[in-house]
Amino acid sequence: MQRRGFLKLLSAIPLLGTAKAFSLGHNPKRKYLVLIELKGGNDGLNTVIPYNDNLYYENRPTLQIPLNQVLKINSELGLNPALDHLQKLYKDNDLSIIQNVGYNNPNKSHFTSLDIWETASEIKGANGWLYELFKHNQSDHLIDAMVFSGSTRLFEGENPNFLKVKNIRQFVKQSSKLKTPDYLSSDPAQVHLLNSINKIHKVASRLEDEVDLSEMQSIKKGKINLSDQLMQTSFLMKNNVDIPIFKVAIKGFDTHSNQKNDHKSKLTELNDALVKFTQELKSNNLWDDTLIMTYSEFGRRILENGSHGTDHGEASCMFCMGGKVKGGIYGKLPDLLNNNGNVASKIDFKEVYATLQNEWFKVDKKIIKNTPLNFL
Amino acid sequence: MKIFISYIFIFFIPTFTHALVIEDARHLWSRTGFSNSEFILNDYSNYSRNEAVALMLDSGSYTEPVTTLLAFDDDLYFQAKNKNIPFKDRREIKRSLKKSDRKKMIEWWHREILSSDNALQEKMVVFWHSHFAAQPGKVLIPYMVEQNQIFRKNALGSFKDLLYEVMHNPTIHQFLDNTKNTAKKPNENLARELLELYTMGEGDHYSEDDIKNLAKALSGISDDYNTKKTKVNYKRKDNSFITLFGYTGTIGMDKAIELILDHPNTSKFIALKLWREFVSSDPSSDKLNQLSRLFHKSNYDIKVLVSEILNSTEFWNEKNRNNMIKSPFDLIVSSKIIIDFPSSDLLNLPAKMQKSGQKLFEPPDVNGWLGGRRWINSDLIIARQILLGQYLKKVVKFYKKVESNPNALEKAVDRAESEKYQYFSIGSSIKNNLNKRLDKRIKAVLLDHRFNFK
Repeated sequence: MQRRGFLKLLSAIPLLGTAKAFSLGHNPKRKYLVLIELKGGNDGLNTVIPYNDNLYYENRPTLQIPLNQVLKINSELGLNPALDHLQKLYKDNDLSIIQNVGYNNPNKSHFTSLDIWETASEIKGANGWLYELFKHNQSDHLIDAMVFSGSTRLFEGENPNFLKVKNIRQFVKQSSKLKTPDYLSSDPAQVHLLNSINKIHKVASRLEDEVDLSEMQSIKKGKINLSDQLMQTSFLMKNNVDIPIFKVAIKGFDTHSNQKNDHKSKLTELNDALVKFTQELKSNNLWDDTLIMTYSEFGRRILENGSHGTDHGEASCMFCMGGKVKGGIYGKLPDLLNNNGNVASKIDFKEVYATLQNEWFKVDKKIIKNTPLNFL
Repeated sequence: MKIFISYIFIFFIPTFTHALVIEDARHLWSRTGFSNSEFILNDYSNYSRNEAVALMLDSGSYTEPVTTLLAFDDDLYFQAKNKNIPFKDRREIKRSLKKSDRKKMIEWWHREILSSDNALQEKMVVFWHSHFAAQPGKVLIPYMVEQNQIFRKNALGSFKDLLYEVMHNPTIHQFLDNTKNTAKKPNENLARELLELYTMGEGDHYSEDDIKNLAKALSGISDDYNTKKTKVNYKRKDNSFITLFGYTGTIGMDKAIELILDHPNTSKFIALKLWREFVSSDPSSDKLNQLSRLFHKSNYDIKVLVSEILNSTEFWNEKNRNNMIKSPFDLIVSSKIIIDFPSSDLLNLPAKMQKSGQKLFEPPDVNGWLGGRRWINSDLIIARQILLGQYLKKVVKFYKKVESNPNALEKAVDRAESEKYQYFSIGSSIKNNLNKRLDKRIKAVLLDHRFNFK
């Protein structure tokens, strides 16, 4: 095949020669991290509801979740009624809820705050934190990550090793038509193009050789929703493709107005997609090898605004799910009284990252220095 | 000392007086959208760099749309706003209007892009569209079309006028929930983005209190379909005394815009954004300060600023050439140097642009398109190839059928095979392509990977 000839040629080019040992790569059984980005700033207070706090009802005259609908998980907290699957996972001790997560001097810009989350740094233009983690721990994966939707910042750096793909089947089909340039230039922009093309051919030919893509459930044309993204994720995992991280996203959490319906429908979409994904992982014996984490650039204001919505806030909640997760609630109840109308950050998101770094990836070289939590 | 001075003369003066060489011509024109390309290809050697910049900027002066602007069913839009009609019916009217008019709007702009000779203006319209990014979900389509005309009129005009007119057009107020922002029920969505994305840029030069106060200044605003402008409902406006950027009083939208324009970070932020549109490396802080002062002093004259950027040594530096990634829009516009695309039949161009990551009238979010390297990732490279490859195939098929254009294809093939056009397109010439198929002979140039760069 044309492509295979090309790959042979490639191995002669030093650009791609990054094959080094990585502790993860040699594990007999793979481990997966699945990141779910909730785009726009998810309202933590209506996701995990402090249903015994009068201040919650005072601050949310039209947006409060009625007490009888809250899915109670303990005497203080309950989940949004859309999240019944998460309630079940919580009962199974497979869900940890981390409360009041944020960082110091919170930034309320979507873009800056997401950058801070994804680079674990306040320096503009910093590399993604997962890029740094893999760089310092010598990865030999096919690629470190596949991004189905949303920001790719987590994996960006000088020599990135991820792919952004919407529809795997289409990707493989169309990539065979992609011409390979017969020249090389040292300009960074041109190198970026060449590297991307090389990576496409490398991954596409591996998928073509090792995976029967016709067995994958088909995807409707048009938008690739969260459930499609997770279906493709589990398909690659089932087929043992050497990609340790998958990144998916769901839009629509920037609920400045009409939050009641919009937020409910987004959480329902999340819940339903996770129902299917959990089933797939469990029936393929992958549940114990997978850690699913949600994150969002910030939470929302405690007091609802005048448009039946909420403006940009500070801390919010995170969910971590999987067979190896120690279920429970990490962090205290949100304080709805102080801090200028915002839920104050009590747990730095880097503590969550440190937990993934130390307890999930178990890498030698730690790039996040914060003290880990104990949910793994 | 004498030697030093003569050195300066040797290396400095010639760049301003000497005639353009083909590398210079290609650089300037590929960065600015290939306006006037025919003329430039033949005449570049008659101009110095400054003259060429001036000529190019003049060619980008306001021209009215070439294609007919859309007509809307005003009666239906008034019905959609008529509170005497039951809510359910109004919602249904709105839905059907959105469905038909959104498509009409998108097709109109693509047709305009293909028809217009003023590529620089279109490029600037795309730039401002991405800067003041809005999606049609919550916005009435006629307002967005009107907003596009504001971008057009002020594309290289005054940023002051541009900002003022954009703020008096309902599009961003509807998109960012500001029509719901009232004295009793503040909503700070627009206030924040106005500072962060439209004027000052994110940073320490404004506080959370500034945002809350600015939201008060912007309260009580709604839309008026008759004028396609905003109007103020003083009963809903917050008239309390507030302090904004050192000024205390009752502040309305116009006063707030004035205060924002007075702030030095506004000229700086816009100068940086425009610099990045044309130059591949960031300016030094001295250079940026100089540009910012000039922009402010010129009363926010965009043309003065762009002219200064295009005349900078950084713009002409050899290292900064041919290393910016073309947007999908750039790909289409710069293809026109080889082949004139038909505008009578769009041949599904909007859908292909969308797959390549640039759906006009529907930027990804309020931050617009990030561009640069982000135009290329594994998904988008393939889509770009399809955008050009499949589109070109359709165009060739189309021309073969349409008799009024018997020469269009021959002309395109001649150009694709001419060394000069190849050089202007990909910065190099390629081996003769002896393929019999016309589309393949044209594709050889447009699908060369070097065509991705400008």
